[in-house]
This record gives sequence, C-alpha cells and structure tokens, in this order.
Amino acid sequence: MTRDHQTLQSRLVAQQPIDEASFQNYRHAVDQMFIEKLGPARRTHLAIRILFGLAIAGYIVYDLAANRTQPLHHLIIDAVIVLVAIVWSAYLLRDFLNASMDRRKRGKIQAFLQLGLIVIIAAATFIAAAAAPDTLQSIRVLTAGAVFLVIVSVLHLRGQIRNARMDLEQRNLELQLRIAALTESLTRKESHESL
Amino acid sequence: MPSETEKLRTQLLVLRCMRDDPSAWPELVAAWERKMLYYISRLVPRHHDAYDILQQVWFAAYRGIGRLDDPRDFSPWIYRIARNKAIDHRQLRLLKTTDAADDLPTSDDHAQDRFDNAEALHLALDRLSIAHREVLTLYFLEDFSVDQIARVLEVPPGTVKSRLHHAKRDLRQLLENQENP
Repeated sequence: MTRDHQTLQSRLVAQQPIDEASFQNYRHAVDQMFIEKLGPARRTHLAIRILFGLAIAGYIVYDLAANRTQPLHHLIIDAVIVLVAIVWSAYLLRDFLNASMDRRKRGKIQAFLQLGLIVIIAAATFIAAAAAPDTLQSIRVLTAGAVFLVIVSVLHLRGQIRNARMDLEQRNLELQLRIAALTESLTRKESHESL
Repeated sequence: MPSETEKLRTQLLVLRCMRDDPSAWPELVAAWERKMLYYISRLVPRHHDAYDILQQVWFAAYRGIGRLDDPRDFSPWIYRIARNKAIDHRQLRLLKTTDAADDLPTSDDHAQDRFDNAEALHLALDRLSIAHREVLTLYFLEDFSVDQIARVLEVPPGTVKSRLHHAKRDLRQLLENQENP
C-alpha cells in the first residue's frame, strides 16, 4: 500500500457531505447505545437483588454480634461474605438510582460477581462442614461444595486465561505499533533528506 | 487504504473493545465512522438513512465483538455488518443477486490501476450500478484482497474478480467521459 493510496482514500472519504444535524443525532445515539435504560420490571429485579445482598450482609453482622466467641477463620469468612454482599449491592444500587446501566461496565461486574460467587460457595462450604455433627457429614458437605467450586472455578479460570492471552496480545500489538510508527517516521525522514 | 501503522492501531483498538475497555469504543467509532458512512451512503439512495444504518452497525458490532476471534478480521467483519444492515434497511435485493456478466472470465488487473482524482472518482462511483459501486468502494477504501471482498459480499471470489474488472472498465469509461465531455 502506498501513501498515494492513503491520500486518495482520505480525499475520497472527504467528498462525502456531512449533514451536521443528522451527524450530531447519530453521535448522541451512539453514545446512548452503551447506556441501557431500565424499565420498572428491571428496576424491581434490581431492587430484589439489592435487598437479597443487604439481607445476607445484615444477617451475618447480626449473627456475629450475637455470637462473639467464634473462631478466627469463621470471622474471616463472614467478613469476606459481608464485603462481597455490600459491594454487590452498592453496584446494583447505583444502577437502580440512575435507572440505567452502562453496558461497557457489565463485563467487569460479571467477573466480580463470578469471583464473589466462588468465595461465597467456599465460605458456605467451610461453615456447613464445620457445623456438621460428625466427620462423615463434614466430608459429604465438603465434597458437594468442592464439586460446585470446581465448576464455577473452571468457568472463572477460562475467563482469566482468555484475559491473560488478550493481555499478551495487546502488549504485542502495542510493541508492533511502536516499531511500525518508528519505521514510518524513519522512512519519511530518509526520503525527506534524500530530496 | 490504511497504512501498516493504521492497521495495527485498529487491531489494538478492536482488541481493547473485545476486552470491554470502556475508553476504546469512542476511539474506534471516531476512527471508522467516516469510512463506514461513505460506504453505507454508496448503498442507500437517501443520505439521511446512512446515519440510522451506521448507528445500527455500531450497536451490532458492540453486541458481536466478543465473538470475533481475531482483531485482524475486524475490517471485513464490520463492512459485512454494514452491508447487511443496508440490505435490511432498503431491502436491496439487487446486492444479493449476481449479474450474468459476473461469471465472465477476466484478467487480473488488481494492481495496475491509478485513479488519482478523488472528486471525479466520487462523482463517477455514484453513476455506476450498485453492485459495481459497492465493490469499487471497498477496493478504494480498504484495499481488500479479492477473498476479503468476497467475504464481505458473501459471493465467490470469482464473482468478485469479475465484478471488479467490469466495474473498473465502466469507471474508466465514465472518467474519460467526464474529462472529454
């Protein structure tokens, strides 16, 4: 590809008249397409999820206040669950109050929730196993929890592996772009000097 | 046609969009909207419709970018979306059919042409048949290979070669007529 062609392309595109009013409307619509307006049904759904998160956090805090003599690992697990539930509720509360959701942030929220789910399943499994009346019961609970954990973790790990691969690819592209930009500027400089 | 640096910049932007980077989308839209608008405007008779179609293109691209395997495939992919949206919008059945002339054998003259006058080219493009206009727009805007154009148009590569050949011949004729009325 030559620079002549590049110039032709940009000159050709510049021939297209732009209707400013339509262009501004289009731009506004494109900005808005990332924002999903939430109707009453979605907001009710959100409210239920917020209340569920707050109820979990509230129950655990109430339970901690009632039984202050719990072992340390219990306290740590409870604190993690409360933290995840509060952050989750806060995320949803913001969208609920705005009556809109930024679609671009949905991926990050989903990743966070997936991680939160793993932590909660693990915590619930340990609590249930510790509370079991005998060893056999504990093993059963731990096995069931482990199966759930493996399934969710595999899904989460697949996402993480994809992210890591894309991260590498992005760095590689950034390097290639720098090299290409340098080569282009050098070529331009050389051709300028030779004139 | 995009330079190597531009191609890499697009790939990087697409990859960032695939990774849900919120700042990448406005950059990608800004970098591509004028070219896409030019292409869509060549397909639909009313220029006003092109803005609506372009908006739909970005929406479809946003929803589908996660399914894109390789950022290098973005360019033909986005043009294919634009084409399908234009077809849906205007019921352009013409674009889905092939002319009898499309099957005629042609020589490969892909690299031999020089069209320098953008203004004359722009005017001449609008006077070509829609199928020829489309194939030449892709040729001038992106320097796609025959296979890439075939992927956008969803026709066999032989049809693209033939269409390009006939389109260039008609274009040359129109340009000559413009120069020597």
